[in-house]
Amino acid sequence: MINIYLYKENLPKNLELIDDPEKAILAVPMVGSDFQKLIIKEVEQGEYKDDTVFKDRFGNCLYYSDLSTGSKIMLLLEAFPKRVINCDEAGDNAFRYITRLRECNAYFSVRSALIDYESDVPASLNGVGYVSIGDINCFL
Amino acid sequence: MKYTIGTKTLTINLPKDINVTTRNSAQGKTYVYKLLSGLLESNSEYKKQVLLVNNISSKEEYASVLSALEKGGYSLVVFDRADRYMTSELMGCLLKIQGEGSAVVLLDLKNWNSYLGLYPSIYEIQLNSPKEVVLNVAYDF
Repeated sequence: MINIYLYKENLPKNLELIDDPEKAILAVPMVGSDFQKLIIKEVEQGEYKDDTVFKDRFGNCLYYSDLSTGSKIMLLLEAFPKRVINCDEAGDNAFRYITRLRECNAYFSVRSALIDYESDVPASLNGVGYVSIGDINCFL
Repeated sequence: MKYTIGTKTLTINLPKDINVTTRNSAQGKTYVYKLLSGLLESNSEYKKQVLLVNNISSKEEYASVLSALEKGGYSLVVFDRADRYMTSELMGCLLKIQGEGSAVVLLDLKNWNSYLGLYPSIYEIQLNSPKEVVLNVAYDF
């Protein structure tokens, strides 16, 4: 299930929050999953190379710490489906790939999020279930 | 404003207004910040005129930034990851110094409307190559 949490008071108390994606990215094993390759290709316009570097849009090899914050957030959502990831800094062009995940927990503290895309994965908003993430639009 | 260091050139074309950049990721915002940091480290004259902030993670850091802004004297203020630490108080301070003639660039503020109740116009950073970054920004209510 894709779980969306808006505002701090709605965070589940039993799940660990990853609040700073810049620090947490080092814990993500870059194994070249389909999703990792997708994010690097579509968001960064780059290419996955191996577990330490990717090729950026200009052909330079960079460490994964040089990815954009939005890409890091998406990789964290995939890598840690049982934790809540702060998605405040995820751009719209990155966050829309949440539809490719089957299970994750995304948190926005302030965001005026607009989720105008669909997925066949069940979703929830602040613990209330919906058929899919597209249904959440009405309540944001 | 044009800054050059080695083979890198940073051209900043912006009016003296608060500027808000795109809501998308991987647009080159942090790259601009790092470029500016590198440029300023090598130029002591520019360093005095520019305030760069890429994160505020404690009350002490927040107080320090606020104090620096209130003290003034900056021709350019650049905030990266502004979403993480922006407050109405800080935004008010930025508006004030902008009114006094400083250029304020918010490199990552997707929740502008949360602070001013206005939805931002979306502008882009042009990352033409690793050697040239052009900031064409404007702010429009």
